Amino acid sequence: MPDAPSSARRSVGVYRYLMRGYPRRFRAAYEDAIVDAFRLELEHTRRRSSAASIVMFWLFMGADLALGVAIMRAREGWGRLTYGARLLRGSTGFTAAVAMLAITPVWAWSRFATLAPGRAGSSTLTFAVSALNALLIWALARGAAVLCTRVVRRRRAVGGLRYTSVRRARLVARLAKISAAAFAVATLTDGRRGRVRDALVNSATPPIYWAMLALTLLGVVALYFAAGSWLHLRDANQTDRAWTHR
Amino acid sequence: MGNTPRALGHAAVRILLALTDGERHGYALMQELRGDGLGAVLGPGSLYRNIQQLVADGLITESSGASSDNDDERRRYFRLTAAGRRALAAEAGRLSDVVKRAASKGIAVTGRR
Repeated sequence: MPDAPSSARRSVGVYRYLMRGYPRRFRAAYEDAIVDAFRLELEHTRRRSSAASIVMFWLFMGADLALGVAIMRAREGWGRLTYGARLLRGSTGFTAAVAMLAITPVWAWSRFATLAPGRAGSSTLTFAVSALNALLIWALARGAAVLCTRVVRRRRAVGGLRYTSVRRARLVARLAKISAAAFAVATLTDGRRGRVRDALVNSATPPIYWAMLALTLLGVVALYFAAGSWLHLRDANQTDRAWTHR
Repeated sequence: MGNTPRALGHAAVRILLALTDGERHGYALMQELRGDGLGAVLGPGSLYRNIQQLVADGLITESSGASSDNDDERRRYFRLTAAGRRALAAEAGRLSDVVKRAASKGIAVTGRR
């Protein structure tokens, strides 16, 4: 049977481990204080020397922790999502890309409907659609890169910027630029060679082509959200100072 | 922070009320909330989640704490700010209006204890 102090230490250790579920910044600010309150409450419960009270204590602490983690994670996720959405809404590149996204399929399919029966000019059509798609992807990816820079600047202005965050932002920006360039070159090249012509002109396969295009677009949009949320809304938030590690 | 006062949650009101008597550290707040008879006991996680929000809203602030030899340096002390006192008064006013309204509709207001 372990002695009381070592058992208490173990309990505190277990609780501290479970606290990893909380967002990192919350832990950085309050972990020690929360663990301290837990320890004192545990001592208080132990003084009653009842097994039932210890069980009740753990049930209560477990429920409190699970609820807290769920609420904070949900809030954090929602905050990131809305922050990303706000940044997207304010981005000129994104607005232009959305406009193109809306116009391109309509234009392409109207052209396709006109040209496909005789297959006349399908290479030109394919090239034009590919070029527009490439431009669209490039605009989105370029926007993501710009976004990264903006977030880093804002973090610098607020202070407390960690070097790893700068490195991550640079990495995301570089990846965005490289992937955009690669995609643009590949799409334009394929368009020129007419490789996607069959996919576009053959009525059985267009959905796959468009599905892949949609997936690619989703990926780039996700990159936007990642760039915004990775370095996160707290960077721009006035409360950042309140989170400072003591 | 905006000028429009935001309705406070029940736990937030209880924490603000507990701090009207002076600064408290987390565990002391837990003890006080346990005995206030205004609702469920708050665990340390829920307590500090609310504290975090109240600090962010500027309603409470961290203070250096009453230094004594027994004090653990991990212990964090909090006190009510002027904005917190105003928010608490506004919330109490709102609750008072609810009570008056209930009474005007013939609802007998009974104490919980």
